[in-house]
Amino acid sequence: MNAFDDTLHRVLARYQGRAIPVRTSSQLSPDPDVTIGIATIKIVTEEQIQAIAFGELDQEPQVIVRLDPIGRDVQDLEPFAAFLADTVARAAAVDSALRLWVPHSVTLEALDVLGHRYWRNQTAPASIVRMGEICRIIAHEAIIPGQQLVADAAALLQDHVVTGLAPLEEGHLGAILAWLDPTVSDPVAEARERIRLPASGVLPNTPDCHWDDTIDRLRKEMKGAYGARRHLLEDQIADILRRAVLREWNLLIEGRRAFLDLGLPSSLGGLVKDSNRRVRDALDNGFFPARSPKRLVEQLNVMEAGQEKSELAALEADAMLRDQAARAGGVVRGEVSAVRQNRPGFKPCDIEVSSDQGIIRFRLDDKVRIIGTNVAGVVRGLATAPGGGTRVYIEITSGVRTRSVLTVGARVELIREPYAFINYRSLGEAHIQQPWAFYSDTAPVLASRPSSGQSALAIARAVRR
Amino acid sequence: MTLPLQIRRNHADQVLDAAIEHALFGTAPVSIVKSPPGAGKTFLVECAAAVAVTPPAGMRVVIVTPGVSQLYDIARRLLQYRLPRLELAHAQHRVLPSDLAGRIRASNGWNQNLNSGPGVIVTNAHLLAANFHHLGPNAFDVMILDEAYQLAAGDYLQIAYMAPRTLMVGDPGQLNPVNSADTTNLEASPHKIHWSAPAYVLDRFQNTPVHGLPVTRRLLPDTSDLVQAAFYHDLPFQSVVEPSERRLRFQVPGLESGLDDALDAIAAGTSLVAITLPGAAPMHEEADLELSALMARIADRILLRQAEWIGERVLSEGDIACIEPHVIAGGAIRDGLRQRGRAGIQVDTVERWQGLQMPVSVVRHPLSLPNDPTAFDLEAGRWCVSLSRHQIGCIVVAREAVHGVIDDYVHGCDTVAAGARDTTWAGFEAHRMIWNALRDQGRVFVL
Repeated sequence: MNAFDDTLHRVLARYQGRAIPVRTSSQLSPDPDVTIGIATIKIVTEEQIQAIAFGELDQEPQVIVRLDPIGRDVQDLEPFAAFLADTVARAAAVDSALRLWVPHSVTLEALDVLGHRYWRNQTAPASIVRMGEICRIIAHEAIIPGQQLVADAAALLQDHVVTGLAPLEEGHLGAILAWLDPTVSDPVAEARERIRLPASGVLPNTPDCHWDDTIDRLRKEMKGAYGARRHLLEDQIADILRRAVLREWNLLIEGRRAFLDLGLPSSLGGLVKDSNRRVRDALDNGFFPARSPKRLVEQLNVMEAGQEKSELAALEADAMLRDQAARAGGVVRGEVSAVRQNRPGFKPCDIEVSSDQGIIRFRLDDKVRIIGTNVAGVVRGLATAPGGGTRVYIEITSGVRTRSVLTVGARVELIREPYAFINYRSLGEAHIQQPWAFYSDTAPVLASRPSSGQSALAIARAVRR
Repeated sequence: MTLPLQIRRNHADQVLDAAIEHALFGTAPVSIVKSPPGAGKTFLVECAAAVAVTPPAGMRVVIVTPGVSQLYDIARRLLQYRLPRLELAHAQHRVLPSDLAGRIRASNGWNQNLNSGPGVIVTNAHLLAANFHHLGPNAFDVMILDEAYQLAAGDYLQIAYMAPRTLMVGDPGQLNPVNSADTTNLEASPHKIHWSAPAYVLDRFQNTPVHGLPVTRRLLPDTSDLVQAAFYHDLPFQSVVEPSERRLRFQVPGLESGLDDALDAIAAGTSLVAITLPGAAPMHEEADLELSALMARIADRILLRQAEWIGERVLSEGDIACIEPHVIAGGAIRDGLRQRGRAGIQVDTVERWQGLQMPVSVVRHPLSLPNDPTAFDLEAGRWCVSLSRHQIGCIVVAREAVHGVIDDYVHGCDTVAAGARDTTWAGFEAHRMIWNALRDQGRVFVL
């Protein structure tokens, strides 16, 4: 969506007093059987988690509050580690995919740091090391476009609806939710009221709420306190942390509910399969970050393929996105104006599609597909119509029996097939061959070859026709 | 030709000779040739191939191009040589362009009969990688990567072992390999596999022999000096174009102030000018239709005034390039041209113009925008390609607001990973330098 459309939607949302959907399909598949949520509170300056709420989304969460989050003792994290391990085991036992809901991206960052801290920590118990590894797997999967493991409630809502707020204000999940709650009569005022208290996975420290300062003060006092006084201070710290992390948890629950209430269908079979396979493989075999050239290329290719596949899936499923793509030439809408097929149902089959669009992004020999069908082909010609439209000549390579669209007069929408191919075998061979430019720290010295001593220009001139 | 120009050309020929000699017969397994726009890098590739296959060298040469259009272009050029073998391999679904059909041994995919004995095969990296089982280590004696700065290191990895010698030829100032995914994390890796192949090799092996072609045979001196200073800090080059051979004459005098003044400036020998429209690009349109219409009008105007490349020909529609960074605005320009009966003038994005040249180009300024510029708008490579396609004249078209966009730009200091190159800032600096130079030299014409 361009900036002007975005602004128009915001004006409309403000006028109607509700969020405006900008998608007709979901970029998230339905929650699988094993679906959990995690919310965190971290120390602002230390990247250390000081409270975690976690559990299944239809139950009260377990809460861990860490009185000394920068200490080396990690026993307090054991329940969280056990929960993650149990969740993974449950998913494996019933052969289910996993889904983790978080309120916003800060939670993911906190889990990523937690993972980095413990996944190779040789002094930590095995359960904590495994927790670290699972956190790293989660954080790594989350960076791959089209992944289906992590559901970030704030990001999902931002991608699927537009509110009457400025984009910057939409960084607050509570503020977005004000526009999705039919009981809120004035979402502008309500959202701005909610924004007064940050929702970013840290303790608020605003004129209305001094939780962060209070915790700092209580921790300092606790250092010199003993007995009942110390217990009292601990209780006060725990109470604040519990309230803060439950607030994040509740935002997560409300965010998820609001997203599911949009009722958007999804058709993401390929992406779900890819994501599950990656996650299952890492959980079964361990997390090994890409370091070798081959693994780095694979990782980049996985991300690029994910990007292409998720864009295609979104376009196939979402009419609104197709409208936008058609304006930019990414989707070509038109009518089949000629079909050349000597034997119905058999190759060769060529069609012509006449479109009103002057702007199209297809090139000769591009592989294309007719949306909503099994028909695919290759662009063999492009011609500009005198009136400004375009005629696309396509050699059909699959789906030649699909009469419904291979008929003159049929309305079709064409889209370019994504490349989205990762040549694992070729990369494997490159790894075996170990080309020096990638696998050695020194360049080899070749034996020089005998040259004629003639100038290259003279030789080239001599063999030129 | 004047003596200094001849001296520069001779020097450029010596560099070309030395680069080919080192790459084919020397001891370094990789040689890199950095080439400014219009330096003759395709000619260098032709020469290298010719030398490599001619006895006594008698090598098996593979020329790898990043895209299929470059592949066909190289094949056309090599057809002008008597080579012992010239083959072409492209993807299974592709159809050979009609002008090549019957003139070259072409293969859809790989076949076992290819690459037998001294000769040249032209193909692309994905096809070689897909057929690794037919090829193996040192299947070729030398690999020439054409437009190497467009080939991602990750693609090079899969074919690097197929030849003991590699000659990488490319323009370091132009567009890098396209990555649709976020590569921020990879910037911290010791292997920058998302960079171009030459940049990756130079990052790891700083002693790799690099030959810089020192001339441009396309750009006139005034454009060449600006482009070199803005985009090629480590590649000094000068124009070897004789200005008297690149003169434009309008047979119909100009009438409109601003627009015709700019065209007359080109006829007077200034090869890079700008025309501005008042105001800023409209917020409410997907394309600045007024600016698109102006670009169409300028292209039309050049032909209406019967521009003539003195000593060569009267310009026709095929001699003018309209270069537009955005596909949607390109459609609007095309509409405007069609309405003026100029449908033969080619309008395309910067990516498509890369590697091509035209006598005259009409270029939309990428910062002629309603919003703050993005990394896409500021990218140096895109702007460099736009400003280096013309042999005689380039007319940059912008909104007057572009002055303010450049003066008021505030760069985010958190746009790249720590330690990574900030190409967006480099792009902005190039934009500022070019625009200030145009303004200070009185080359901006106001409508």
